[in-house]
Amino acid sequence: MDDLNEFRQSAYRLVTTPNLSYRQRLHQLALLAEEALPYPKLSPEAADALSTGLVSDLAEGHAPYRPRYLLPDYSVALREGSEYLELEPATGLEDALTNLQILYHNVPSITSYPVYLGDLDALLLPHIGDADDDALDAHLTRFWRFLDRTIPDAFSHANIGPVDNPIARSVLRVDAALAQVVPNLTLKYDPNVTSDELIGLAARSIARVNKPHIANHPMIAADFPEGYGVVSCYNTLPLGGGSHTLVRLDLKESAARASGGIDHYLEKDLPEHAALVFEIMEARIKFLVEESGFYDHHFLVKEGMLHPERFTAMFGIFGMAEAVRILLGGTSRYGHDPEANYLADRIIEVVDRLVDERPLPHCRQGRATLHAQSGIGDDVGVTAGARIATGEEPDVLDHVAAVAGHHSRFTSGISDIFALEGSARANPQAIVDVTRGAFKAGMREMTFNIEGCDLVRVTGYMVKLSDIEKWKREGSRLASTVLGAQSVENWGLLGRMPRVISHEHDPRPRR
Amino acid sequence: MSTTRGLVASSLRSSLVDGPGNRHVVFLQGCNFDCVACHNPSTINVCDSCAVCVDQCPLDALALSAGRIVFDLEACDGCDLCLEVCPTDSSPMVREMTVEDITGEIRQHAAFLSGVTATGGEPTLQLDFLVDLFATIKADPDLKHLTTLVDTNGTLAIEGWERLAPVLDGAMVDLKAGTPWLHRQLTGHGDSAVRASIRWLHDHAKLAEVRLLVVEGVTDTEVELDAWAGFVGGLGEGVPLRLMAFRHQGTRPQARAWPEPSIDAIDRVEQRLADYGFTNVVR
Repeated sequence: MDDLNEFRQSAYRLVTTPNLSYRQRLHQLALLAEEALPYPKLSPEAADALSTGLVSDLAEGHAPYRPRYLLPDYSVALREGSEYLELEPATGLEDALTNLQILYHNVPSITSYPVYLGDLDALLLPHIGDADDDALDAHLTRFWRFLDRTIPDAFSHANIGPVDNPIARSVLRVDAALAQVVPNLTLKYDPNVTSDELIGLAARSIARVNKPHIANHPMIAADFPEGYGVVSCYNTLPLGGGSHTLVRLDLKESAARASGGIDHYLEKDLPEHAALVFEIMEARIKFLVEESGFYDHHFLVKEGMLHPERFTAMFGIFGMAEAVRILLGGTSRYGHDPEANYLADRIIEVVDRLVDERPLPHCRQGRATLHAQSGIGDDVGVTAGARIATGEEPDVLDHVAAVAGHHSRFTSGISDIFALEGSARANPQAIVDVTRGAFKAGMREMTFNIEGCDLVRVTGYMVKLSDIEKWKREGSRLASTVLGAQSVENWGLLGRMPRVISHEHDPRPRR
Repeated sequence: MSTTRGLVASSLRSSLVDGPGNRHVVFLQGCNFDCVACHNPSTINVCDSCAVCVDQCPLDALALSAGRIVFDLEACDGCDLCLEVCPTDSSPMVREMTVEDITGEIRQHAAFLSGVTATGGEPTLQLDFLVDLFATIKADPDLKHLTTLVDTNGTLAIEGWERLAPVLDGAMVDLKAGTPWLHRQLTGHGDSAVRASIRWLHDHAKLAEVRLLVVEGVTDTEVELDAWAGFVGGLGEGVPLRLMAFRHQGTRPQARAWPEPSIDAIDRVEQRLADYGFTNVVR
């Protein structure tokens, strides 16, 4: 009876919170209801790891009834139509854009908004006919407004590239001109394929709006022969698939529980902690696949836009900076001291090997994929992913040198954010130079924050600084502004030089 | 392998403000101008080992040995106190470096660069070193993709430009005033050599840009801008121009009497140049 009273009180508080929108209240209520169900069965050790914060499922809910991330292959529906949605094949640009809008509305996700909007140039190029640049810009401007106004989630992500084409150029022009939070945007960059003009145009956009993010296409494409998309906070996932779940290990907490020296930690404690992550992942995946029946029923699967065998599961780590500091006795700094950088590489090597050795049911290639998780809003005093501690980042060259060596291990994505002085705005070629050098050094993805932009990256998604002040007064149309505001307060974003903070999102019910 | 030695005030592996792209910048010590507005006065003169700075260094990074200053780069934390106490607008931190020392540094991060910029000081005063440095870059398979730019006051004789030109991609030249008398006031020298250099560089397609330092009420008067634009316009169309706003940062006290120009002041100069028909103005 007490539980029920508490549930009622939480629900009442949600429906009466003034600065949550109708949709935000609805989503939070659903989460509250899901959390009233029992969690999939876990060992006492795993349940304890969840409740004490060593491991976190990012509040995905107790009874997963949709995968965390879905990357539908929209080209199937544009080419063949959709029986479930009663759509004919697209026969022109307006058709294609309208059908995409319809499809987005019907794609589930952990946030209830589609996280992947497609490789827009590949999707739209077959349909542009003889439209000139002005016509493309006009179409995409309307489309961009639709996305920002109906998908108020900065994790929604469009991809373009690597080949230069009129749609990719139009996307960059329109995106920079509108400076919207949504959609987030990635350019797939292949130095041997992408034209200088296209990467140059992207750099000019970055100088204005800190978008697009740039993906090392040759490296990521080699990991995903079936194709891939970059979604959410720079997760690289298989096209026509996605990720069942994302469960993360707090390396700071893990290191704090070390029961011996560094070698002992790497050989014993870390594998034990990782085993708890795998157990939780497995329980969640089994519920999703075997009990919720999502993959048996959903039209995206039935119509060939999603393939169950292309779903991975993401093993997230975060708090590397603090873990290294704890293990080295509090003096050595990751990103600055070779000893600390070496230990970080060793930790990643161990986790990568553990992921490689542990079979997981219903997963692509029978395994999870390693992911540097970008944090959530209420992470305080712990650094995102495998990033160097916020505010302590060395200059770009040293920064790249410290992290490039382990980037290729993070199959399902890693992001380090590079702050550049505002003079990059007048010299966007410098952004291209740094990106080329970084990819040559082995970086998987590059993200910039240029000092002085109103649109800034908070861990990976975009927030308008001017919106944050407004939210505190009036509430926000965009869920991520709320998260950004929290991060700004927890991390002191505004007081810092061109520096960014860390987290992915704030999934918890607001009690 | 080149062993030509230069006097290097500093070698900076990344700069976004010394030409297009990310650039390695080599600051060469010594300048033949003594500009009132100099923002880098410690690069003007060569150290005479007077040793005033030695006792001031809080980290004992400076010592006097056999009548010469010895500088310990490892011990230095860059507080620049020695520059503040220097009576001769110089620096005890200047190092003698070989061309190979510099290219060795550049090689480590060449993949991140568009090019190399030599500045100073007045880099063309060390012409042998400069020619050798750029020639070495152009001849090295790992470095030859880098563009070579020089940031200059334009006083080098034409014979000098003829030597440098084969290994130079472009010169960014300051024309600090429109009229000769103001040029002399601001720099201590007339402008005829500068104008001759600009003409020659333009004729030989080596003029990367001409720069005007905007000091409000000094270099942006009607008379000055008329004369400045008249000369630059006479070169022909499409010369890239850059407006730089005077800043107090780094300057000596005599420059602080001038205010830093407002955005409006820079806007006015830009508009004025547009009225003259210039289309290639950046700021």
